[in-house]
Amino acid sequence: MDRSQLLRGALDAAVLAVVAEADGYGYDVLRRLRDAGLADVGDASVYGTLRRLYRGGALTSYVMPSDEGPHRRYYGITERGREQLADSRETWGDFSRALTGLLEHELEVTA
Amino acid sequence: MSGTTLERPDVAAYLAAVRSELADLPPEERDDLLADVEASLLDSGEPPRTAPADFAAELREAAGLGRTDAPQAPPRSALETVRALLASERAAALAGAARDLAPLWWLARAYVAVALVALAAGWGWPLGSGTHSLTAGIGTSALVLAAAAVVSLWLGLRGRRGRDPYPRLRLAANVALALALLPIAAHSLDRFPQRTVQPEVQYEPLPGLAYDGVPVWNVYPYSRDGKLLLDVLLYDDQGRPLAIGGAVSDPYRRFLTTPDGTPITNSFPIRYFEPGTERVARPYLAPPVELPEVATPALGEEAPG
Repeated sequence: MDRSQLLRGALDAAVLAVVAEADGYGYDVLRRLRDAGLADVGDASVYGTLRRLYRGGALTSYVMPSDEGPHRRYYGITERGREQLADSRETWGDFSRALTGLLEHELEVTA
Repeated sequence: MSGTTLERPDVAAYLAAVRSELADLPPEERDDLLADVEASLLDSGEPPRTAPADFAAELREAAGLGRTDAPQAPPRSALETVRALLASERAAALAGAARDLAPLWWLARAYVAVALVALAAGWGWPLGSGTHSLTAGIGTSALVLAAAAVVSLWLGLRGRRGRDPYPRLRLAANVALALALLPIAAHSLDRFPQRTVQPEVQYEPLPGLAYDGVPVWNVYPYSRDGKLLLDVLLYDDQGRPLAIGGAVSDPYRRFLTTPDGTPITNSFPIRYFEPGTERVARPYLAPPVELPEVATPALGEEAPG
């Protein structure tokens, strides 16, 4: 199964979950996603998703000066983002339970 | 690891390549997007292994900005440009307004057509100008115009209902009349004031005597001592008799006559006979006047001097 295809549909929820845990800037969010096990998440996908969620009002942003380079734009979750995240959790829970049930049933049959 | 793109030419080159791939985005959107990318690339320590074009495409898709790099349409011909303009919403709005105003044009083209035919045939415009009386010319012109207007309105409504068997001929005629509109309008503005206004201001002189434009029907001459004079003959500064009522049809008027019986019409005051007689009942009858007291010595009696 192509993990990137799976991830594409769930990236919004993943990014919201990371930012809900703590505000972060682009590379920081990317790193935390990868640390969480999503190693093949694409840089550009994460940066683009952050901008899209920000434009949609799910995230807020602010700029923090950095001594090591250009200023970093941090993203934080908004109330709308939390609602969206809760909705995504519910959807993903239902989906994963259904799919897990199907796959485990198939596993039992083949075994 | 961090730093600036000045210190990392590889990152700067990668960003420049991505930027060029996003050249179609609004500048503000592109700059915001790439500001995040720049900081993150510098933090990551090396450019992504993805090709800049693929990176840009992924970034664009994830940001929900879509692709706008569809191949540009080949340049359109002038005819295609005109067709595109005609198909635009603005053109549709203008066409709607023109349709509403079409009856005005139908009336205008009737005027232009009649004037053109009249001028081409040498009848002049207004009809008969220069050869007939102005009143007759304008009246005839108005009648012809009314008939032409009816025909033009009928043709316009017929064309609008799609019943015109020669739409191209109608279009050509409309274009020709539209082109002639300005010259005809200029001609009409030049002609009508001359032909219509001037006769209106001509004043026909009143017959007989007049004072401040009001007819004078009688004259009562007095001597300086206040006596009403009778049968006084009056002449103007050119020796013309100041006649009133030269016609001798009035059987009651008392005319002085010459020896051969010719009536003298400039004698005053005019007197009338009593009906059925040749007698003037009250020869000294006159309207009430306030005669001034004359202080100036009579001519011939002035003190020498």
